[in-house]
Amino acid sequence: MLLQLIISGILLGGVYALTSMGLSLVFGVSKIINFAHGDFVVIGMYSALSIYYVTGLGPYISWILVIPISFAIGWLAFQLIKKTIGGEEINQIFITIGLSMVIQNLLLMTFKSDYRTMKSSFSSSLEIGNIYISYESLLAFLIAVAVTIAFLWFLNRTDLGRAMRAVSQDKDAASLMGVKVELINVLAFGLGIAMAGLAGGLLLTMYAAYPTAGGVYNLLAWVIVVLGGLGQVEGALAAAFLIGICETLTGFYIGPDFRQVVYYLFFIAILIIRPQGLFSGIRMHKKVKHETTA
Amino acid sequence: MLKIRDIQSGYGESKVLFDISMTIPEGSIVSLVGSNAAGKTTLINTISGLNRAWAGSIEFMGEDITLLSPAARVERGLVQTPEGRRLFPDLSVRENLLMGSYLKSVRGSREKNLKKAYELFPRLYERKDQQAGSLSGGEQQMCAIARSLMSCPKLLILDEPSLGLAPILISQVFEIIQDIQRENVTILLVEQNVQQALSLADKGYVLESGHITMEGTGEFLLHDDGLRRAYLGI
Amino acid sequence: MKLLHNQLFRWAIFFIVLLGAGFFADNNYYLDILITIVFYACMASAWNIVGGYAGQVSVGHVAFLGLGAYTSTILFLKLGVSPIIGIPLGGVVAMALALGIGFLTIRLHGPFFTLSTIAIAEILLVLAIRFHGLTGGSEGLNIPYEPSVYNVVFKSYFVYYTLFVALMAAIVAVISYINTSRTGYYLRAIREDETASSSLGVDILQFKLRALLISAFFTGVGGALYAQYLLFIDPHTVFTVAFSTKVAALSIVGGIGTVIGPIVGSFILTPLEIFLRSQFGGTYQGLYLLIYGVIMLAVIVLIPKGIYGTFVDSKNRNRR
Repeated sequence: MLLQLIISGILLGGVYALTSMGLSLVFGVSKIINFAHGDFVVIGMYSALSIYYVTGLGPYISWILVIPISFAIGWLAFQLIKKTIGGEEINQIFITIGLSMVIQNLLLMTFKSDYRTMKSSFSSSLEIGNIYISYESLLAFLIAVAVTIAFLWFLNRTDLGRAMRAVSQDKDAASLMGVKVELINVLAFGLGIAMAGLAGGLLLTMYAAYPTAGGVYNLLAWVIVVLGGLGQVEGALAAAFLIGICETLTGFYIGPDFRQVVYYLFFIAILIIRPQGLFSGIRMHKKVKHETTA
Repeated sequence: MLKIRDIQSGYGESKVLFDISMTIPEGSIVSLVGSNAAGKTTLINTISGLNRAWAGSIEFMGEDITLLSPAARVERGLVQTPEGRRLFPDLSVRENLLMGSYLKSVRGSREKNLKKAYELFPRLYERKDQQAGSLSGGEQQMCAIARSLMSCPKLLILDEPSLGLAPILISQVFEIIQDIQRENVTILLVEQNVQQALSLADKGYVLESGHITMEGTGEFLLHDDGLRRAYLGI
Repeated sequence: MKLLHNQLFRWAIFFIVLLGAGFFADNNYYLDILITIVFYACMASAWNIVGGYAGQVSVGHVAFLGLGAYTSTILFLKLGVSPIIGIPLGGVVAMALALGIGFLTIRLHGPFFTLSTIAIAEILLVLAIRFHGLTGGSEGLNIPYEPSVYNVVFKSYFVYYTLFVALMAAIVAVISYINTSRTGYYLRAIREDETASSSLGVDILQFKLRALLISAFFTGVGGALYAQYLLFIDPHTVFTVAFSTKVAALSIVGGIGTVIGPIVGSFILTPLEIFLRSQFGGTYQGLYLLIYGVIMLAVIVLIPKGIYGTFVDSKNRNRR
């Protein structure tokens, strides 16, 4: 059973990695604290659902469409959010909270409050010994891994990706290299939201969609990002698996309603004891500490 | 090459620069000296476009660039090496240099420039895969200058390149600056190290509380009694 | 001093008019609306003490509300303790929680403090459902309708209304007092420039913590009183983060960091909410929250200081 749970946790973690890397990217590059990130995950879920209703395509195909849809929505959202950049912090916090309210209730009005799931298109699941893995979550996991690899390649090996990292470290210096910081900000935001949306689409193979689920996914993504070290994309990746496993284990041994409690406690503890995250080196320490306590 | 006329600028409501005019001839080294908080960094950030000019105009190679974005100015060959190096600490040395050739217009000569940079600074080649944040102060300065050279500058603005360096490294940096000039790059050097900055300059400007108080050849300024008393303590 | 008297006079008139409105309303439907408005005004004002004045944005304030409500209700139902004691005790328990939370998290930089407050509210929600024996689980707790002063249950809505108005007067009085006191002075200094205040030796955390404690106390008292009014509590009403967001929205729309802003916010948005819910609640679930969100976004983008804040600004500008 333990092995089964750990494997399920890893599959889940792969999808969580997508959403938290997206959040980490947005925070790192544009320094926007996005409290609506989880709602973009849910938008991805409903996008995949709608595509399924109309065309009958499952999430492991429709993700190709979910990515550009989410990117476009992210682009639009950024046009609103950017108005508070450089303004009072409280307004920066509440613009995304307000956005979250709008998204959740638009979804509620459109799709009603029902829990919606997708019928499996596979009649059996993969069986190795006494471990069962549903083909759907396996496919979702593989897609998540593939996109993650592509994303890391983009970030580390392309000029645009490098520019995003440069902006996240020093935007003035980057603009002295000819980087158009505004454009990088909106691209990073769109990309981050696209990853959140994609994660949502894939999550549909494991969890039901409902309009206010965004609150849970939002905090979840932040838990992972803080665990991994703020703005550290690779750190978020490692933390995602940890949280995924933690979630399946507590879900089974303590009770499904306690899944969140455990990692919320974890989250508060990390913020207080080790604000630089679990997986970041000593050098990050000073910088992040400054960011979290200043 | 660069003509600025009656520039005014500042932060928020406080004006820092009052009617600054300067001319930088092509191929020269021009030094801008002045004490702390005289407005030197504000002035060159206005030239680079990081600060908006409140009034006045900036002309670069015959074109009015007053309203252009920083990126557009870099595209035209106006490149700044900012004070305090401002490397991207988590990027490797090589990646920092590649950022210097981010613009499409210079990406074509990326490999050539990279090779040249490593030739000029062999130390950087040795450390090319190290994170820039782990370099020593002198190496960081080399890396910052090399990064600017990657952008094929026509005018290179150096803000306090000697700041925080050991004396032996300082003379090395000034030698490199002269090497760069020999490659047909015009240089605007902003320095607190008045003696050395003026002795290699073709022309010098003295900035005091937002006003240009003196200008002339480096030689002439170095021998001015007032300036010697004020900045060299002689 | 004259200014203070002037203010005192204006507030006295405001509260008398408010009470008078309730007295002449003489109709439970209108009284219910008034009570809801004043209740939200109280909650928004209390939130504003820490969110607006101390600049620490909590979106988990509902934790204090719920704790206050559960404390007095459980004490009453299980031990027979009169809510006359239970209600203030609810405030004290909320304050104790705030002390614990604040001690750990008040040092966190803005958004991370906010995130940790959400996490705490969510944890309490799960615990309230889980500890079924004490809290009644998701079904919640009913307070029997047995009107008496000891039970703090009344036949007349006007009595409840008076209690809520009194709570609001207390909150306004405390905020006004803080404003003129040393604490208020330091809180303003901290809000203006945290780094500068800290370098001047102001113990920022201590003042922020004080603000959080006061805010939590009033929120807890308000929650307990509201439970007495509804005669019912359940985890999803008193521990839902959406409540905190709503309360914060009232302050933002009205104008944060001002005494009047949150009250203005509640007097505008709460009636709107009641109207929208009664008109469209059945057919368009979520419409009123959608409109809340849109209004909040519009205010943040167009008049970031809120309605009252902007009004004051324009008045000052005219005077100049």
